[in-house]
Amino acid sequence: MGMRNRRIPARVLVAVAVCVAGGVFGAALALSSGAAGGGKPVAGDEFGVFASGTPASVEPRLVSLADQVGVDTSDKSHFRVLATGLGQFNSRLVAFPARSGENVCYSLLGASQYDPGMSYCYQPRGDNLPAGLAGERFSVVALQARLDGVYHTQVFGVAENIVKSIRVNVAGKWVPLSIVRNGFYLDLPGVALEDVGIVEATLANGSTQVHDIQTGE
Amino acid sequence: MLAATEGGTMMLSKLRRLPDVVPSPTSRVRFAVLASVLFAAFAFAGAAIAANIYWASPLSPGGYASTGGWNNRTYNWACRDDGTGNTGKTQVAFFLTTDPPDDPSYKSGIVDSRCSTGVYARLDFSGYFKCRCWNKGTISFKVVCQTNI
Repeated sequence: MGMRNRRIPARVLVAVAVCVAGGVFGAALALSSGAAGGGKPVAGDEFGVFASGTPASVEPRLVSLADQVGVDTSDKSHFRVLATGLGQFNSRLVAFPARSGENVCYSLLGASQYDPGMSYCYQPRGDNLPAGLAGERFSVVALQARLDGVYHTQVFGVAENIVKSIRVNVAGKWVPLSIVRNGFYLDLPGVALEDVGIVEATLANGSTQVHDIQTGE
Repeated sequence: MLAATEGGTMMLSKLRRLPDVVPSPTSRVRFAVLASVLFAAFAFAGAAIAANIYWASPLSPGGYASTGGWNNRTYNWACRDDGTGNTGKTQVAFFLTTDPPDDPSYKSGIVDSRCSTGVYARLDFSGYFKCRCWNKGTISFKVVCQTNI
């Protein structure tokens, strides 16, 4: 039996092309979701580390995040490692702008891909922010892990140049944090997330701003 | 040579039948509809493959959504996405197979989120996890939650 030299009908070719185009369109749409703007570019002006820090390549673990949050070529050139060797997971804190500097993303990444890590992207000058977040010159999040039945919490974030000091209330006691390269971090082994409360930032003019880890603002 | 001959015969045969297979206006419409349906279906499938959104509906305050089960995952994120332009409080978690139903081994704190402006929280590490996301606000709103598998 020889091979037949059969032509594929044009309709089939068109149908296949439509399917492929549809798939590509859908994937592109999904990956570019949430591409609208809304805030003012602040990353370069308010965070010294983005303006003068040493450039770093985008972490492989964060490539999909960068794609999702709208990191453009300029943003990629401002990817920064703020600190390394942090806490019990030997983590590193990294940050990068997104949406041409309108947003700031920061990530705590463990030494291995299996160590607990978390990213948060926010819009420092976004519209319609809740009263508790509007004007906040820093951003902080917490991540809890339960290992062998024991809770551990990591508190981390970024602060604009104007923030001079940060402290966190842990089970009723204030714990001061160091701000290095616009980033800060606190490892709390044996502490549950529910025991972490107010984070207070003191600005250069002496005023304070607070953020409650329990409510998110 | 045989194949070429057979192919040539087929071509001639098709050319002879050409008047019969020229689409009528009605069949063109049917084909356009079919193409549109196929495009939409594959667009949806493409989006699903790329995004793997496991929840994209309103949640009541304190409500949550979870993946159907456990899988090897590398991230889990959530954000408010109801078209109001407002932000909403969310939280994300990873459950191990041995975790109690309401006490995940890993969870973020409560954070403000808004999908439309790229504001959201994401757990960024690998493991065999079940994902969960919450509405931690005080009103109902649409929450979008996504993982890679």
